Amino acid sequence: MNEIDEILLEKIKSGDIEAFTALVRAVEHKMLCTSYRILGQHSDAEEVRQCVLLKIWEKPETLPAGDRFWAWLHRCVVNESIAKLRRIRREQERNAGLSIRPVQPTSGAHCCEVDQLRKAMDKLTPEQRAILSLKFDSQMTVRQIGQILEQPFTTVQSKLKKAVAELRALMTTSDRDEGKT
Amino acid sequence: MPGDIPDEDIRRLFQTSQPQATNVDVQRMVTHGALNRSATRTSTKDSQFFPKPNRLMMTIRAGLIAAIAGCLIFFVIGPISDKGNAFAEVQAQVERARTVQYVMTSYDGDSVVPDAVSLPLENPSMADAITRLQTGLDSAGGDVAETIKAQLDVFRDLDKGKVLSVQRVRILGKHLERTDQLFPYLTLEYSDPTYTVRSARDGLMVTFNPARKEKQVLTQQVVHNRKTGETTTSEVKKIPTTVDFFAKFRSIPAEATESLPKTTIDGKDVIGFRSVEKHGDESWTRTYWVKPDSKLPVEIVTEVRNGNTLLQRWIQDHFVFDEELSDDLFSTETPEGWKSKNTQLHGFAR
Repeated sequence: MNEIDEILLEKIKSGDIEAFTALVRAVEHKMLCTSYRILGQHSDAEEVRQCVLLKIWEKPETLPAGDRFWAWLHRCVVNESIAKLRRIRREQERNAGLSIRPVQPTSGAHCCEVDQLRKAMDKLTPEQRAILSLKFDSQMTVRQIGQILEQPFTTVQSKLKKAVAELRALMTTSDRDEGKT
Repeated sequence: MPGDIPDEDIRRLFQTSQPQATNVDVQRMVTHGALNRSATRTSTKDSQFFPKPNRLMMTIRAGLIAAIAGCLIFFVIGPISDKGNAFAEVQAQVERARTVQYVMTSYDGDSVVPDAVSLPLENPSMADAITRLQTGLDSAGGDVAETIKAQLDVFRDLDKGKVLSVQRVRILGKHLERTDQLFPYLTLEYSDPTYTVRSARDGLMVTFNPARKEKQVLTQQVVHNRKTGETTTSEVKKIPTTVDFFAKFRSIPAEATESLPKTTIDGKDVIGFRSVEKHGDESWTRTYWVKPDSKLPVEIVTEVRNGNTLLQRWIQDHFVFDEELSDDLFSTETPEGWKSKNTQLHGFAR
């Protein structure tokens, strides 16, 4: 966190909408990506993003200061997304296991790969999805992911390794299965 | 992509498959959000999935309190258990009903979402709905006024900031169900009120969006198996079954319910029954409050808990049984000038 970030946060705390907009522009896509990877639905991810952003605007006094802010922000996105995923699953179970979930359309030359990735991600745990998204979407280091998840470096490192291995295996299996048909 | 997939390929795939970037309309969000400040939670927890040590102490303390309370209830009040027949009578009365109407409100649990911000009354469609209800109430009388008052009461719960959704459910016969989403999971961008008609007999599930003049017909179902990771897609088949409300009621083993002491709801005496089901780590407790004379439900509360943590709560209330409902309410035809498109149903295998 640099000095400019500190100033930005102070301005947001004093109700400066332009400062808040600048923050939103800086983080909105990363937030959307992380939430989308966990939830698999664009509209759900947008809802989570909006919830977290509103929390910043409505309760600026609760924002952690200094370096902790960015980790806190991403942690909120991860936690909120996992909570939403659980709510969706409970709703589905309550509705005899089924409810309408529109599918994200995929298009273009690499739609097959993207589809494989989506299916493989669906089979990972929400925490694994979060770690992979923070690593590959947001290009974070293991140490940064550890700060976000409040877990030691070595734990995150081994979880990341396991998640990547599982993703690879799932995608390779899916590749072979599609080759058969 | 045969064989091993290098990290660089995974990174590239993540980068090229990111969701389409959409900018948040900050001004709109802030304007609407500001109206809602009183409805936001006061909790400042932000890490319940990655617990901190003091959470353990709280859990132990809560467990002790629950254990002491349990002992007190057992020894002082005594176990209340008149199983079987009384609830079976309620099931029989419900089964006889030709039409059922109720309002289903879904509440968030007490510690699932860290610091969640609810987005209720500022939503334009909600505000419109409340205005319309209030206007209707001013000019209505008798039963209609009572119904509108009941709906307004539900909306007032939104001020508590914990409501996730409010649905009005109407059932005709055992096969037709219409659910009006009065307060959906909202974002400001996805705020149109919709309603869904399910015809169990025809295997049809159709969602109508009056604001967009769009009808969505469910044509395929995709079932994910969490244990094996397999996904199967199939055409939706005609399933000759009853609507969920009746099926749920029938599925509760009468002998597994516990009778509860009499109480009052809205000044009227009710008798109660409770059933508990286990789904993995979660326990689902259903409490039925029933009119002693008609043996029909007044309120059904479903709570999902993991240990002492309340995860979610649904309340079904404002019940009306056997009031005439028009077939038109359950039409699955495409209204003139509307678009129709097909959708998939996603769910998890049991």
